[in-house]
Amino acid sequence: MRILVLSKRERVIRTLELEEPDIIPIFYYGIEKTGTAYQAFMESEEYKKNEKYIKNSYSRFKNNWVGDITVQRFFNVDLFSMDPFRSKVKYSIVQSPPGAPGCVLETAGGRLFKIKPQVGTGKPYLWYMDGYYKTPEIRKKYWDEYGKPSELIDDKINYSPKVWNEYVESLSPYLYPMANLGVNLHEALFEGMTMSRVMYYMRKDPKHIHEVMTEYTKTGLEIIKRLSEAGVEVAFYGDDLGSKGKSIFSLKSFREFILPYYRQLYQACRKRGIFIIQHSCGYIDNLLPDMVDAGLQGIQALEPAAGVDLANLKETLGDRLCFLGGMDSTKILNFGSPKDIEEDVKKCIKAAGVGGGYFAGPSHDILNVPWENLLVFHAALEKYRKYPLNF
Amino acid sequence: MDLEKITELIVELELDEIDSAVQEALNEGKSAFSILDALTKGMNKVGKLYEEDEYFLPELALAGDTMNAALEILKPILEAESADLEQEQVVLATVKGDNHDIGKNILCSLLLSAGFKIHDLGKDVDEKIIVEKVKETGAKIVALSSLLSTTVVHIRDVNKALKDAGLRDDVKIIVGGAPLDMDLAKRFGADDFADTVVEGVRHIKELAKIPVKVKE
Repeated sequence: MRILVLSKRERVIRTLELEEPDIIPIFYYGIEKTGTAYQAFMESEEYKKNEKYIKNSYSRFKNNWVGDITVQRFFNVDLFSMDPFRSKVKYSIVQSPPGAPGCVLETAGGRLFKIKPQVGTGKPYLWYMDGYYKTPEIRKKYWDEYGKPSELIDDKINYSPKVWNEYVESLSPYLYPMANLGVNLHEALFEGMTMSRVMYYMRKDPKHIHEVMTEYTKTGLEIIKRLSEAGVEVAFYGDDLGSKGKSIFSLKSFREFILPYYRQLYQACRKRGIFIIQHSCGYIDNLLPDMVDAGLQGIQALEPAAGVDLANLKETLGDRLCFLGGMDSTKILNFGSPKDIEEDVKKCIKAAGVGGGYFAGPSHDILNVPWENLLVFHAALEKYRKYPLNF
Repeated sequence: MDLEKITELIVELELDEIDSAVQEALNEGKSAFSILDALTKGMNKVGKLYEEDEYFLPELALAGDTMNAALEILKPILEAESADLEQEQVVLATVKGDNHDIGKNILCSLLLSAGFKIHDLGKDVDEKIIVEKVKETGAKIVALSSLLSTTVVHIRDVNKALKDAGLRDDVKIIVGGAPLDMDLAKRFGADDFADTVVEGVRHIKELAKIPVKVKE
């Protein structure tokens, strides 16, 4: 008979330590506020029941709100990526750079964005459009003028333990927060330069790629140091590596140009006692063994629509890696029947929940999922998350 | 310039060398069609390497750029020489609301090298524009890309718009993109689905052989 009931923090830490907690913890990547699912949520009874804002007296923001946790309360999450330090890097924006009318250029990474209507709601959304740093000369020009990423770290942010502890305490009845690293390496590389140009320079001028990756890594390492000083226990790092059925780069390219830098980030976290969890969309099963060897402790997303095999990953890496997500938010949550949704929840919990080391949740953030499907999903999670798993 | 060398430059993704090689071959009196054939052999080999997991998306993208650099030189000559030839036409687009075009652009390069005439409408394309292009060109194949679970539903809108315009029976719709599989593609009214761009070319070649329904 199980009588132990853990706090949200205890449940999170125990799961990350790959031990079996009292119940399977829940993690959602989030819900897109411009999507139709969020609009339906706002009009629902559930919104009224769960509406909650968290204050923090150390916030440097005028209104002091540091977190709208209404969605997280509804989903009953145990872990969520949110912190009081917000944007750690002061990104510079250039309007309509030459050759890209109507776009904005984010100068640290070289990505072009444009505000366009969100699908289904028409609400304004900042879409990634293209990469602007197609040559080292263009990148150098903008970094010289607006600063390299590591020079843009916001020094006004107070990373004190007092700020972090009060934040954790204020959230403790609802969830355990993990801090976001606020940078990405691989995504910034191929989105800022374009895939074609990255491949071109990997073959013709590898030094250029290493120079960019070194700079992004330097930024990440500095942020890890500051998070550690604040007392952060879990860090979240979003960086897409996969596409449908394949990783974006080959394992060979990944090992040469990406993995050495990931290793530095993972090891910096581990050295400071911070659990490191990475998000990546797409198929990455071929990269994960190397990432785990390099020090990764948790992987989130695990998209079945891209071909990720959660059961096989659990079997092969489950003694060293914690899994978060995996429930199909692409096809089943959007277009499946209530039975399909419940069966998928059971399937993932059976595949990855045995013995601990698994956070149940969808494989992506929630976009235009029908509201009634979310309710079915939510109910199924609560029904099947209890240990021992007798279904 | 040996035509095999041109094939090799595509396979080896030699973007910097392809235009001078194509120019040299033309200067030596080689026909634009023989050069296109050499380029196509290269792209076929690139596709094979992708399927064998030797090449990945970035290699496909760079091969596409290399092919396009060669086509920049060949295009005017090919257009002049092929005015009397019948080329199968494909209307290509990323559906409304979706701003992803890497897969679509790679497919475009592969289809060009396979001898199709492509009407690339770009990304975030309204169904009305697709219908207009089908009307204008008489294309029998519409290839649609959608990367997002939020935008795949717009395949249904294209299907409906083609039906409303009385064109659906004359056209085959093929779709591709991360959230899709054959089941979803059919649910949205498409005729076919391809999981990868390389598979997409193969399917489109097959579709081009199938006669469309003749209206009674």
